[in-house]
Amino acid sequence: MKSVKKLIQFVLDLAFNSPYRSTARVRTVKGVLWFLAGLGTAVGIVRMVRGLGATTNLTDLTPWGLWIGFDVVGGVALAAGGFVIAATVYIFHLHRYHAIARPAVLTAFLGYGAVIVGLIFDLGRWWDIWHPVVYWQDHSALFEVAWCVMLYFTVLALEFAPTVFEKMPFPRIYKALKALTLPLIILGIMLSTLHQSSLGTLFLIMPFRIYPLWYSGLLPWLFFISAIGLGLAMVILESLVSNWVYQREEEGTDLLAGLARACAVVLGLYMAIRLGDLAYNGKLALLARPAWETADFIIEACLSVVFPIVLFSIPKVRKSKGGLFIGASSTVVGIVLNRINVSGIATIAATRTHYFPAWTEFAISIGVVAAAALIFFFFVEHFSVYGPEEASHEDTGLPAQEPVSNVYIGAAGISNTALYSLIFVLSLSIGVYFMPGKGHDLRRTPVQPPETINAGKVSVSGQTLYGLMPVAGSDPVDPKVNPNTHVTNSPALLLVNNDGRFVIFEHKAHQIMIERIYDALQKEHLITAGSDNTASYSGDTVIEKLSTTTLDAVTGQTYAQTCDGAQQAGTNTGSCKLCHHMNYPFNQATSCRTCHRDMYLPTNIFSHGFHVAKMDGNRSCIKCHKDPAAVKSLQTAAPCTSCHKFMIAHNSLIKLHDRPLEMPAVGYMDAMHGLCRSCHRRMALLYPQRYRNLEKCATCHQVNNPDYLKGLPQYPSPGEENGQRSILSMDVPQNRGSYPLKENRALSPSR
Amino acid sequence: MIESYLAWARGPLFVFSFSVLILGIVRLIVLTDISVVRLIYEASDKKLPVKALIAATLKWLFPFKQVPGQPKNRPWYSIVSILFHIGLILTPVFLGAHILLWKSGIGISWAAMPNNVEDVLALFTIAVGLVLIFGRVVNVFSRSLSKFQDFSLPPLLLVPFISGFLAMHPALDPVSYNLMMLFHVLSADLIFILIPFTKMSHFVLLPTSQLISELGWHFPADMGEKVAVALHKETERI
Repeated sequence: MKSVKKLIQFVLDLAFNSPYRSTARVRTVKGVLWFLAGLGTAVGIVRMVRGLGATTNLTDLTPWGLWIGFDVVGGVALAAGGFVIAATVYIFHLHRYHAIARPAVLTAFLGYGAVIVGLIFDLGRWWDIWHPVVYWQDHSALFEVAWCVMLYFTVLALEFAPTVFEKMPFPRIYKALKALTLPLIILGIMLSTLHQSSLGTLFLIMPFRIYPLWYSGLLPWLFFISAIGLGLAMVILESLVSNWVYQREEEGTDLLAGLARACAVVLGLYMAIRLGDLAYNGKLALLARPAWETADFIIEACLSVVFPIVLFSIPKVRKSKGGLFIGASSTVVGIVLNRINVSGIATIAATRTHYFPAWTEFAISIGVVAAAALIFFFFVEHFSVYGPEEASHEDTGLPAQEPVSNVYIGAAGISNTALYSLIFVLSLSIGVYFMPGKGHDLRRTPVQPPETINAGKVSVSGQTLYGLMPVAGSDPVDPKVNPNTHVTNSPALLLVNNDGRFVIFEHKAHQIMIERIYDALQKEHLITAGSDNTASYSGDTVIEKLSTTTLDAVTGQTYAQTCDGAQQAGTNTGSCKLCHHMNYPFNQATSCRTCHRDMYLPTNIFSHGFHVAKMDGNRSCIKCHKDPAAVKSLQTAAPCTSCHKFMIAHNSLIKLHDRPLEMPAVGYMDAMHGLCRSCHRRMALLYPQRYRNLEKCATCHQVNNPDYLKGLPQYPSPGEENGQRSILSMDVPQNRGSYPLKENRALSPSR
Repeated sequence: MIESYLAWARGPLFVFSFSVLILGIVRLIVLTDISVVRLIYEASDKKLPVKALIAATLKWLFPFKQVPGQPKNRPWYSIVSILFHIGLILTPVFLGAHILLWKSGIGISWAAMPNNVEDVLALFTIAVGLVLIFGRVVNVFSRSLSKFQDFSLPPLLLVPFISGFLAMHPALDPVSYNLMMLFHVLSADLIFILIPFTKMSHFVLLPTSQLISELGWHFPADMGEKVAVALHKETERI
């Protein structure tokens, strides 16, 4: 109880009694960091709620992108400064580097924290992140990586803990931690060595995926050595940056110069091994190959090694702040680029995918780094990270006063907490504003108009081949070549998908078959024609009758009895509506893609704006929303059929919802599968002997060569044949109103 | 054209403004709590008259006779103000169309008031709001106490009520339904964004207002010295 009270007092002192006063520079830097962290938080929340697909450009072929390359693999390497400096000071007893040991350990600790957070964002099932603790899979490289991260993170926390406990009122814990320093540091170096190299091991399992310039059996070694160089560069960079931010005296430029010299040596060794490995494996010739990977490799080598070595070799440059900054930044960028290359960019050639991170991925990567930097600054401001801190007291200023009357005329300024929280709130909201909305980012795949083609149904030696073949040509099943081949001419619809695949649908054959059944049913008085030229019958009856008819027996002569033709002749048999279940206004047997406009996504075919404009603006509301006390919604509005009497074809094979417009029209693929397969399946179930294969995929999706079919002569459209308007070229109303159909307007077939 | 603006205003812009509203309120509450903790932490006298604070808060919810020194208390003005608050909260929260949006957005819903009751409430709120604005402008004392916010926020609050009512009754609507709806949504978005940064934030901060003004008088032990240092008069005698 006593210690809890002490702890609370400590936290309160930390929060309200800090000697630290922010300067304008610190406020600006931290403000920017808070903004970036806010943006990252917004994306992070949406990523957790909606998943990776909605927030990243990652695909099944490129599942490891910026987050793994930069946050995880790069982050681990960036944290290498911790073990390098710890080894320098405590193992090699170079005590003059003691001053930068604490910031280096803190950077490593926060770096690993950032790695874990980045990993949580990247894992598809992030809530299972604890699995490696319980479910041991000792054959997995990732299992080893997971344990290294956990253990090393713990060790780093303990290594850094004395800095915090130094100020806390628990001297015993502080003493114990101090006593543990050396064992912890040895453990840390061991785990780090393991982990840095095992990240390289991880990529050994993909020799065919990684471009040969990066793939090497020595990847674990290369990762480890480059991590040492990067760690040194990172310590230099972070010292320079925090010196600048806190306007500290130029302490330790000599120290940093020493680090830079060591960095140059390590980087030289790294490049020597790498080039030697390429030469040994005969891969050096790849450097002469004109590929973008070559350029990538050269840029990476220049940034990570050549440029820094040149800079750090010149004593004058190495001892100047500018030179150190440029050299260290170059190393950091270059080696992080190396990690991103190995884990992502260098696999593009093998996977042949195009991947560029979405802005959301950048936002999270940068946001995580910004948050880590803020925590770094917090520790610097409240604990003695860079030795005993001299608080820079800056006058926050008095409230502005009018000089003569001493009247208060303005505030002293916004407090830090208020400023940072304001920036955070605004940036989070801005992030949410730019997040892809529900379904707004889905790519539309407009349905292609069907083509009419001239093709034939072939029976060879009495056996029907359910395949469509050209009538003329040198095909082995051509009747001229094989006398046993019988070809039935049949105009067919070619339903083409965007990717060039297609299904050949024998519209006429299906139509004729249904007509014949229809006639048969009429003769048996199963159908009664009404006075209004409509007939009532049940779809099921038709299906049953279908079995008594065969496609082979059908000739093309009854084509005049098409929906259109029959209707004009006043003998509408009404069989079209079996499939064409909805009629667009002033249209009959409306084509499928008039409503099912997208290949895969549902389409809203109702336009509110169009109806308002058509029906006299504001005065039109009550025409549909008849009940003034009810909420005006699609559900409470009058059904569409109360005006559009003939919109729904009754007794169709498609059983529609009572209020069809409350549901969007499903994607074209689903619509087709729903219609064709339900009928085919019923036939197959009813008559398994004859139609057992009818419901199988290959019945419609035959292996056809699209190029082959494209050479087929165009079949004269039925309209040209008999001088009538064709069912295939039915009018599609042009005016669809505007939003929400706007994005679909492009999808409506053009005349 | 207007439809796409409307879709933007009730889509991304709404999400933005609602996020500013929620996060801004959370920020205000957290900042207030921090300053409460800080004031208690620093105060030499840490005792708080809790009962009196609650009583004062409740009393100020109904400020019929609370303003001392004013020649004439304005009880009717207070009553109208309370009625305005009731209409302001009830009308949008229990409107069926709004509840439908909640339901389609995040799946929660509650009982709605009938539309004709809502109509009456909306008209009532508009009328009461106009009376309040009139009372503030006409009364000399109110006018001299009022700042820009006090004059500008009440009319702004009435915009979504008027536009919403007209959108519900298209026959009275002089412009198209979509344009009126755009006014409605945009004004509501603007109000959401403004709430955390203006006096409208009193709807969450009211419970702490008495506490803060009480704590303001609980000075730190070394306050006097600090004031002297701040004024650069530490050498002078008090």
